[in-house]
Amino acid sequence: MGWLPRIVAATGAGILLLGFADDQARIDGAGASLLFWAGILLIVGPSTWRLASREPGRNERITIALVLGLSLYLAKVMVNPLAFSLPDEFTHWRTLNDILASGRLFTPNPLLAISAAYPGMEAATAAAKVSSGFDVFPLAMILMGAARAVTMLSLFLIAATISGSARVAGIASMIYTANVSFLPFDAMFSYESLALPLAFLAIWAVLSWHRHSGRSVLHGSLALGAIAATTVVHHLTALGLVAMLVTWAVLSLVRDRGAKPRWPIVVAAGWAVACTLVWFATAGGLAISYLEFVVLGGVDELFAVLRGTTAAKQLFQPRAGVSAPLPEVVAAYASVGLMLLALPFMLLHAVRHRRPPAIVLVLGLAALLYPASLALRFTVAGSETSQRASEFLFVALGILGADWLVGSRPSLWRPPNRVVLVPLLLVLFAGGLVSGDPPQGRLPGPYHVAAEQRSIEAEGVDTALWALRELDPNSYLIADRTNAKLLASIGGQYPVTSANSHLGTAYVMFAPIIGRSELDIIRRGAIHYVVVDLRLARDVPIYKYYFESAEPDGGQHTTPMPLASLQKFDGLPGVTRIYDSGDIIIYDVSQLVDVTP
Amino acid sequence: MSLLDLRGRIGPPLLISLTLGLLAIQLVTDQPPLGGLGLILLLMPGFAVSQALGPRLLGWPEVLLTTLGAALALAVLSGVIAALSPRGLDASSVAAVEIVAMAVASTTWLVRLTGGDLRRVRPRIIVRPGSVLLLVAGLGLGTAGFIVALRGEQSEAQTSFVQLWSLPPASGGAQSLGLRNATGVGIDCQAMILRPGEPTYDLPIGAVADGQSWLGQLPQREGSGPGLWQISVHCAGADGSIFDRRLNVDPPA
Repeated sequence: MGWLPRIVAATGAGILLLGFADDQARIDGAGASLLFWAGILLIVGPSTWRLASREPGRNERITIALVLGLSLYLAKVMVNPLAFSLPDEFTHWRTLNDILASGRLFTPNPLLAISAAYPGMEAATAAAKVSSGFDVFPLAMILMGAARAVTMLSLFLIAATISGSARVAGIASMIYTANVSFLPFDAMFSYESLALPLAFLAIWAVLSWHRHSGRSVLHGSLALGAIAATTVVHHLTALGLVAMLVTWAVLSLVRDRGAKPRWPIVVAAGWAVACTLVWFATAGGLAISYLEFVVLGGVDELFAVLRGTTAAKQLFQPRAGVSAPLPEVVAAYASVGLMLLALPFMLLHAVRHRRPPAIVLVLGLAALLYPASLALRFTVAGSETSQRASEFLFVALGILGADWLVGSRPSLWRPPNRVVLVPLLLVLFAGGLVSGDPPQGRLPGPYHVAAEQRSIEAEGVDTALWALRELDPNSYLIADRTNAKLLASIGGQYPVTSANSHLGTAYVMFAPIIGRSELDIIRRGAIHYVVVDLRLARDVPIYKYYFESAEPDGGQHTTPMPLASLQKFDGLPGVTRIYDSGDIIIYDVSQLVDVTP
Repeated sequence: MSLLDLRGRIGPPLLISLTLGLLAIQLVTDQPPLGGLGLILLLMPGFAVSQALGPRLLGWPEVLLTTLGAALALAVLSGVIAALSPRGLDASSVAAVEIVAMAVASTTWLVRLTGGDLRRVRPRIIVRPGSVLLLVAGLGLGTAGFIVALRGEQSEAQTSFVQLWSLPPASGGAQSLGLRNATGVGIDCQAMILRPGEPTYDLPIGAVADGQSWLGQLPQREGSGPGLWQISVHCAGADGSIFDRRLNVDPPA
């Protein structure tokens, strides 16, 4: 067992500190941040120290990697251990509810249309729900926990298979946890959180299938099954997997003329292409326009920034008076700097001394994309793409980086010992955590306007539950982003937005009066209800938008939303005020729709 | 190893029979046969796949990965296939898909077992009392941390609010007025309805306990005055807090 008991004890102590940190943060208590970082250090520090050592055996290393991944998953769960709280979770909860209600796939999701076209995760949760009778939330947490275990085991075994070293595999797993999406993005109930482990499982299975010369039925069937499952869970991961497998197949056909047959890689790549094409052609075609918008939008903006026609996005810009502490900013930049500094050495190490196999070249090509992905962080549209890219690219960076740092082949310029290496790895991890999750998202805390999980509170939830009880399902309504999430997922309603209907409903809410153009939007959207949250007039949003990107001053609010704009529905002919909970008012505007202009 | 060689514990044949039996019950009754333990039924096909198709020597990390991974992939594919089936996704259709996967995997598993094709790699773990103590301490501390976070969220101070609503009746009947107390204390409420062209109507609501709802009906329309009815509700909490709510609704037809 080696150091495993000591690691588990330290991790347990770290989780206890995280519990105290969450508890303190709920009352806005001082020291919550310090407790959080102390807890994280106890979880990550001893594990990293031991993984960097030469002593542990393979089983000890893989267990430590597993404990590390699962305890960091627990850190996310503990922030809100009783209910969904992250915005994407409500989006996928809506798709899940639709599947449970109808037993069918592809019911339009007003929060994110593409979610309904890739319903694999929700279908799996629904299958677990009808097979167990459990509530949705604990089931989702169990499913994501299992997915996290698969992530860590797959990563370790991929790295161990490629490098032939358990020590490299352990450090590679640790480096992977430093990607900006690891906590909390890839731990939430979102399709990507399940697709990634399935894709990693597929890669490990193909590797093993290839190593067994195509004779292992387990690895073959697992590879094909995991590829098929990835295809129906998440578009971008499926495309990333296709790109990786096809590149690997082509390179192996060109270079790997050796003892092992290459057909398992070619079959896997062909199967991945076929699955993706079939799903795109039948159900997931929407992904093309969605990805075009998300990815190419960022690239276009980057070129505009380079040409000087658009200003670059300011990193770590304070919002609503909340700014990242200086040490965190330093850690974030240091983390990126370390990785950029290490990149040439790890690439050089990968191709030195031997004829690198195709899979190593694939990893090298992926690692080369890292600097380009960083450039997208200086754009508004490309920030999300940059964040998503890290969860793929860090597989390559982790394996190649670990091989350079602790691999058995001699290498130049590697840190001489653990005393130097471990602090550097901890800075890398801290920087990734800071970049992926701002302070107000890391811990629970008091309500704030448009602050994602910080805006989820009892009044909004109870209003959504009231809507579920009292209103017709899927009534068209206008609501701010927080209430829209709650009303669509818990309340079963249909918020109309620019994103789902190409109607500027947010402009209706910002307008000082209901004029002809606002009336036209209400009528074209067949809006039945308008949900007004008076708290929007108290502060500027922390996460850029009150409603969505298509709103006045979208992303650039410097003053709170005018109270008069929110109160304009009172006394308006044809409008009734049917619900009042103090902060949240619901107006019935159906008579405005029915009246002939 | 023969089929009956259970090595003193529940052996593969019993496990397979039990799983298939429970899945059959789920198929017929369209209900989860084990309640929460039904999750094991989703894990079993993955375990069967891992055992049935795996190489002869498979370490515990590979067994864990293939079991969990196959279970996740099968859950995704089962859910999608069941939902695409004419019946749609329910307990019965999910069980039908899982039975097929389980039957194929377990048949292969049993064939390999009876053929003596499988050997298990038993991890050699040397356990010292100090190690056990540390492990238990770590798990205890982690559990304590989770409980602290859980209790923190349960006891988190929530906004006090009163919900007031009025909706037209779904079919006939009088228009309803509803109020729910989410203030954390008992409240005492009084409603006043301003009716254009008609006298003001006082509607006593009275005491509403925390977490409770009050449901009433709006009075019948007496005159034919134009305009909306304005409903004002004033609630006083036992702790001195005041909650005023207001609605504007169409007069009852």
